[in-house]
Amino acid sequence: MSDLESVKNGEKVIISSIDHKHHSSLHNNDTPHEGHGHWHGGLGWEGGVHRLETMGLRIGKEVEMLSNQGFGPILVMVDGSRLAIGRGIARKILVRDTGDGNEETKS
Amino acid sequence: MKKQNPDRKTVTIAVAGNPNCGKSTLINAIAGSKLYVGNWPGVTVEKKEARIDYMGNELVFIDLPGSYSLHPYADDEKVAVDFLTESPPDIILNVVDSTNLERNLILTLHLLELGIPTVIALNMSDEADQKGYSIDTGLIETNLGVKVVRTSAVRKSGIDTLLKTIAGAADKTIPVNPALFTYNVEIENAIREIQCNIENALKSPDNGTLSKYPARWSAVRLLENDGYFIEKSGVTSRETLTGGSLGHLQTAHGGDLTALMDDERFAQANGLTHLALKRPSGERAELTDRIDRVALNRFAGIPIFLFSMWVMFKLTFDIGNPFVEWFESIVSGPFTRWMGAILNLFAAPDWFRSLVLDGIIAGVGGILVFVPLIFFMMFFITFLEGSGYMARAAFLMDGIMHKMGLHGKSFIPLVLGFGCNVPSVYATRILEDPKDKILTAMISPLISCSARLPVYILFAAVFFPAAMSGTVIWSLYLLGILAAFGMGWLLRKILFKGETQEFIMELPPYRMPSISNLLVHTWDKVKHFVTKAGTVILALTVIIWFLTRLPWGVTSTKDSFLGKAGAFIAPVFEPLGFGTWQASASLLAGIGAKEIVVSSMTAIYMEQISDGSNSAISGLPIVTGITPSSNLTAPLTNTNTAPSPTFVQDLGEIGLGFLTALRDAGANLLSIFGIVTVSAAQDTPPTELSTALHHAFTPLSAYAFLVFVLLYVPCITFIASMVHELGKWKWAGITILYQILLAWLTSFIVYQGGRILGLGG
Repeated sequence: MSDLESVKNGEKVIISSIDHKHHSSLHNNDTPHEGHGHWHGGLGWEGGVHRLETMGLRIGKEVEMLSNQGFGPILVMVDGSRLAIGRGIARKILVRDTGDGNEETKS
Repeated sequence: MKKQNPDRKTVTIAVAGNPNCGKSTLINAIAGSKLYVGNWPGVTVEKKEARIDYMGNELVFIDLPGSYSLHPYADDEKVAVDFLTESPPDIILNVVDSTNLERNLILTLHLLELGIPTVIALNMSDEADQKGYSIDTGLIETNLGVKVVRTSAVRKSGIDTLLKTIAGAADKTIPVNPALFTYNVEIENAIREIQCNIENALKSPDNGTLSKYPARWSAVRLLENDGYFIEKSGVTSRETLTGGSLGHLQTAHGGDLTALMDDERFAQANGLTHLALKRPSGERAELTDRIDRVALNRFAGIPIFLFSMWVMFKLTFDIGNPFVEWFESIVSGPFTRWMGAILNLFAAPDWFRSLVLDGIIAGVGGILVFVPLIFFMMFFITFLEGSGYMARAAFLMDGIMHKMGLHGKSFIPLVLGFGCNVPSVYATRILEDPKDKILTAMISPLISCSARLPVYILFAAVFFPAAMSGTVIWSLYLLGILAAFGMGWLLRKILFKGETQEFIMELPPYRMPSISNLLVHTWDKVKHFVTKAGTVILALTVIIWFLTRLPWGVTSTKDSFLGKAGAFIAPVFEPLGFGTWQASASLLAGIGAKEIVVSSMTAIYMEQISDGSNSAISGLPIVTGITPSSNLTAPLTNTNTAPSPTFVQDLGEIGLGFLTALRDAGANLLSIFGIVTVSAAQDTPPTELSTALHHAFTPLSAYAFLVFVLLYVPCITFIASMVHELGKWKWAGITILYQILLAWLTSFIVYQGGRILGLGG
């Protein structure tokens, strides 16, 4: 299982999918994660995904992990922009290696 | 008299762009000092306006909040959408960050759908050059039907060409025709059908406000099921307007078509960027990333942040205080003398002299002397914002803030609160979730704003040794922060159950803000404080002066309306150690503005001492608080013996005072003692006021009083801002109630706890 949350500092990956559906914090077999999981308020989950995409975090984009401390938000570089995103969202973004474009999604 | 050109036109230009693309800097470069900020800029939460004369026309630039799209996600994006659709400008100036072309073009595509002539400022072109980027502007112009001008707002390059292009587009000498973005055939068919339905609906008188929007744009919004548009346009049934047009699309793509429309725009922006932008291979690590490796480090990040906060406060007090003393010497010296002379000239009656000197100059002047402190605090906060570090602080604090039931971004409004709580309320617009927004607004008045500083400084100077007074003031700041976090946690548990919203924020690259930009934005913030002193505090000062004199003819404040009201509620404060009518009356007066607590208290006590002396100096508490060389008592004793200085001598005194302040500020900057410098200056000889306060308070009850002042009701301006921003009295009402309870309970614990521990009574 590889999602953006598990990418290490300095690693580059390509976004292979973004979960557009609303989930609870106990989605699939994820262990409950401290504090995060829902996307409340604003335009809800769909609106949040829309925001992410307009900020540049879209399928096919190469992402470099700038800061992943194991807690708190992560910081990634996309198209020269530094985007800080919560770990709950990062878990919903599935990624694959940059080396081989046809490599199967790790998830 | 200047003749008005009959052909002179006013051209409205909406300045739109992504956050951090340099819009505000570009407007500053265009308009300079002509920038007018209608509301709190904070992090550009309201529209700013600049008017300039150019080639015989008036160009009015409206700075819109940063947006990523016209499908609004946060309140500040709604402001942008509202302006563009409800009062369509003549021209859209779309500011595009040259270093991030693709993402910025997505907003451009949204803007073009409005059909308004658009000029693109390809901003930060100098940074793009440094990175080795090459952008084919002609290609963008051809594809999008816009005019493109390369600019660098920081270096003020390309501004003339930009203005010429805007003026040309406005008078149509430069043709600008936004290209109609064409979606795929199925979407276009649906848009046409919905557009047709809209045009039919517009024939009916009952069409809400739909008629004011361009029909095609409305069709796209309806197709995307944009809830904000549907609400604003008064569309009661989306299905009636979309008809059967969406059936096929929804079958193929699911219920949500926003993602489909986004994909179309993303593909267009991506394709255009690939064609127009050439970048070198193997970009090197930037300075920002090297700084971030340290500043965001898991171990060093928080200590660095705390150190930067400490430096901010140290610099504010060390540099600001000598100027506060200078301001105070002007208000209590030359200015009071000049006003006295003017009143003598007009043979003003005694009551009017008292109103002006004891009421207005003492109240308003005594508060205005704090402008230097506010200025420096706002300056450093603006620097942190402009440099890009404030966004990092929010990022760093997100983990801790979440544990307190708050959002990382809540941290920015709360930090602004150290200057003044009012901009905190407006800055909550950066929070997308209404719950986070309301919660942050509700706890923000617990952050100790600079208006409370006069009270702390006076009491710390009177009741605590010089070496301790700095610690006393710091403890109050710390208590405010802890109270805000504690109430955030509690309110989240009681009123706003559920988790906080996920963190999404762009961290801009580190930049060194220009001094002119810093000064413009600092002045925007300080202006509010000065305006407040000139309006709200002036009015309250006059009202309080009358409340201490009515019923007309009372000889003591104790028998006045304010005195009686104070006496009525005084028993409530008895368990807190300050159950006197004087303290209670001052707290009542402070509901208007916290600064008033001191001026009214001083007026009440000094009246008792001087038996109703009408010296204006009696109302200047600040003098006793921080100025060792203060001649607080001098006018009371020497007025009739020393010859008054001449006007020229006064001017000389003011000039000399400024140079002294400058020298002291420089010396303080070199010192490493932080706020201790303030304490050192508090070694004042006992004055009438401090003697009177010593009779009324003990150090313990004085501290309990300060705790109460810190936590009790927000000021009137804050309450009005909160109602304005949140749209309901409910939240302001709950805030007032919980703050009164919190203040009483905390002061009770401090006073009674202190007594049990044998710290006095």
